[in-house]
Amino acid sequence: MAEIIDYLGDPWTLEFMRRGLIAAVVVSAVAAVVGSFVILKGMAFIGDALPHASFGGIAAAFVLGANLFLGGAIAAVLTALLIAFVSRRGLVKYDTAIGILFVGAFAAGILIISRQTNYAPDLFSFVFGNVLGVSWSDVWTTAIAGAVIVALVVLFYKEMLFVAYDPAMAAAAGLPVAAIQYGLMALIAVTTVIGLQTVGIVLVVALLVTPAATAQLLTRRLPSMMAVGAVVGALSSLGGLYIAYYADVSASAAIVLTATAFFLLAFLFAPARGLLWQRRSLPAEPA
Amino acid sequence: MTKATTDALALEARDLWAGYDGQPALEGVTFDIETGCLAGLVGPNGSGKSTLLRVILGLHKPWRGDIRVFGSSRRPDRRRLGYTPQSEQVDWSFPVTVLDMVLMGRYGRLGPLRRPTKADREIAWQALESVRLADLAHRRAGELSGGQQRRALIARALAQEADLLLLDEPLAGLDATAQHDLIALLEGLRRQGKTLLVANHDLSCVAADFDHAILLNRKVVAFGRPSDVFTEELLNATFQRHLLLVQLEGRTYVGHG
Amino acid sequence: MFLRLAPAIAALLATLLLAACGSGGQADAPSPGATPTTSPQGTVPPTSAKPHLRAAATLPVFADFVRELGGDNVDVFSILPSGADPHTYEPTPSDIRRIAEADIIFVNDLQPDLEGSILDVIESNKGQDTRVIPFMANLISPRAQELGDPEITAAQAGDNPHLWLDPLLARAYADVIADALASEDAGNAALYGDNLTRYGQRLSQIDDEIAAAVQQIPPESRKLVTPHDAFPHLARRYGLDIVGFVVPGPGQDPSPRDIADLTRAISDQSVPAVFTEPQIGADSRLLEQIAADAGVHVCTLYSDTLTDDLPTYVDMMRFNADELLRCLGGGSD
Repeated sequence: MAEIIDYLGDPWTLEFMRRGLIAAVVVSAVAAVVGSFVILKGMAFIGDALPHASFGGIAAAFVLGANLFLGGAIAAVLTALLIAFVSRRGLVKYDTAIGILFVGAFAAGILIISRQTNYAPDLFSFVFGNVLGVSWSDVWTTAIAGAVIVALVVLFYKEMLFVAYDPAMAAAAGLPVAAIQYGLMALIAVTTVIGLQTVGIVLVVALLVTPAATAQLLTRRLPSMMAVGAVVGALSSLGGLYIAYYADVSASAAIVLTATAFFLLAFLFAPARGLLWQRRSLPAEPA
Repeated sequence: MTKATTDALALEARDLWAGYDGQPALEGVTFDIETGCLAGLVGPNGSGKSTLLRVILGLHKPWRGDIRVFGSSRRPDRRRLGYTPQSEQVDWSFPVTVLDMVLMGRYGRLGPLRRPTKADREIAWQALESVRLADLAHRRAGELSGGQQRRALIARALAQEADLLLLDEPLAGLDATAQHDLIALLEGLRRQGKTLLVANHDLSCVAADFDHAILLNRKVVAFGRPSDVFTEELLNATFQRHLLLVQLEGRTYVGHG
Repeated sequence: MFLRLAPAIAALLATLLLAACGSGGQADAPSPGATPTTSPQGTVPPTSAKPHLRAAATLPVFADFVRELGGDNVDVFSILPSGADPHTYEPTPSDIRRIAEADIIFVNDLQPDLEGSILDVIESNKGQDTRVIPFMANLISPRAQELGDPEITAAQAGDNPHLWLDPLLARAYADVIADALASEDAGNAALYGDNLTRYGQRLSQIDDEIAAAVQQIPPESRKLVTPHDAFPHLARRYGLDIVGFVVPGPGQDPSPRDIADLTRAISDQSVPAVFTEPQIGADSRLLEQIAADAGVHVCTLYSDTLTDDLPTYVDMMRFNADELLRCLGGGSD
């Protein structure tokens, strides 16, 4: 028994593991809340698109001698707002707007940099974080920003729900649909940037999408979907870190694969919606 | 006496012109709808029905013309106007229960930062009962059948405690039985004193159930009682193709030729 | 009204909050070159004599060598500009033109480990008569004795590619360059020979300087921790001990054990300071965090590139020597 306790407790004797766990859990929770909207609106690849778009801002910040992290954050938010603006016209769908705008912002970054020097893509990865390399101040910043984001979602929950679910009726009921859609995109952008700069690009994409998708298979209502998503994200982070520690592999990869494994389990076994569940409940052949 | 007169007309439209990008969708639309009436807005796809509903709701600015809702031409009081969108525009995969959906009808009254109260929930339950969906309240909205989904949308508009309900294609895609059930429900609401305007691109068997009908094809081809306006001539002018009227046991059926 | 603004204000506040506490921040940004750094022609202004040879080199350090040996006779440019990352660099059309027009192109090795896709670019675009000269295939491996084959080249021995960080091996690079220049431009062979002698002396000199600096470092402090495995030759030459590196090469992700081992090694072996490389982003920041946890200083070493402040190999090595002494030489708190 004592051995098991040692086994479970060993990784956490290391300070960087404790920090990494807290950072990953915080990011998971915020990402699951925001990510629920992302996947329900079919915007899953925005998690990869916005970090690329942020490169335009990083490049601009670089040539202006400004803070790279701030430049990236501003570019991500602006791109997100532009995506909302373009899709609201109704001429192209969300995924098309995302696809066009993020690569445009990325290329703008390359252009800006190539006028000066040619090491554009290196700057790109400059702002990436690493879950095992976060500092305590990163953890605090992430926790506070995350709390603000979640608080906003809680405060404006019913407006955000109504606008995401049925914008036509929401407009008819008098809600400021445009403002809420822009606000949601800004929250997604800020969440993505925080995740990117804390735990890196691979993790932020996965944590935004996979736990929420898992939760969708397990819940019926949006609030429980967000809560279950946060729990699944946290468990993926915990499990992934254990695997990374004992199998001596990359932490980001281990967390992502754990999250994916949870999704597959839900996909197969979720009550009423899982694949195997449905097979089991086929009606018996008539005699 | 005065209140009855001013409220006698739920909806008045005078010479409405509206469109998108310079293309007109409504041309000189004029009609009246009395309070407590079940009116049909009939016309083919693209005839401007949805535009008209959006103009009434204040979601789309007309180029010119006048629209009065319960006697007032100011910005409509959204609480008195209920709206059910076309079923295709609703995201049925969203994780909301039927009760959640109906409660959304109360959000317009609540304003930001406030939660639905017990009274709001009461009203939502009553709305569900009046459309006979109370036993499905905790099901996911997406699990409902087509007819049930329409009823849920109506319940949401009812939860708003609206006096004028604008329904965009509530009968589309339903089989004859379901259509009759829905019309019966709407008649029940009319008996409670509500005014309903139902947009329809397809008439089939419910043509005669409306009190009033407006035939729309960008212009108002005719408006009045169904017996007056559902003639082959006027319907052909509206739909611009040949339609068949069948009289069966005192009911008029409109079919395609 | 408030409802409209609230999400935007909140997003802005969150962004500002993140930025205000953003880790690393400006101090760690690679120094923006105020002047465009597209391939400086050479520190010596062209004289009336037109250069006889056109040369290219993959890295700025090599171009510096060629400049020293070729003088006015050789017009050399570095394909990779200062500060760029060989793995992600994209050459411009004018770079490609100059590659096609070059008489000689110097590369470190024909294996792409260090120079990445630049080798492919060279291969596809070099002129008909262009000679490509890989250094590693043209000098004897520093481990030749150890491997029991006195003739084995660095390429054959599979040595770590950062050979030039040992000034004695840099001298071997210079030999290769002088030979190549002389064989292309026999008329000036004597000049190249003189330049080689002169530069060889400077390399000897810097070698002595570095050795002297390292001498002043207490032997138990002569320990090297870096983001990547770029310094084995430097370490071997001056008797420094490579305690570890974060990842063997860029773009890899260290496991928790890797980080724990490195942190433990730093404290077990009382390493006074770790060294980051300025142009590397995430791996350097990771090393900084490890250093913060271990309570040691963070200093800088250059390996692959030159900068505006350190435009030549000799400057770069002198800086490295000073930095090693400053950070490892006892007496620092």
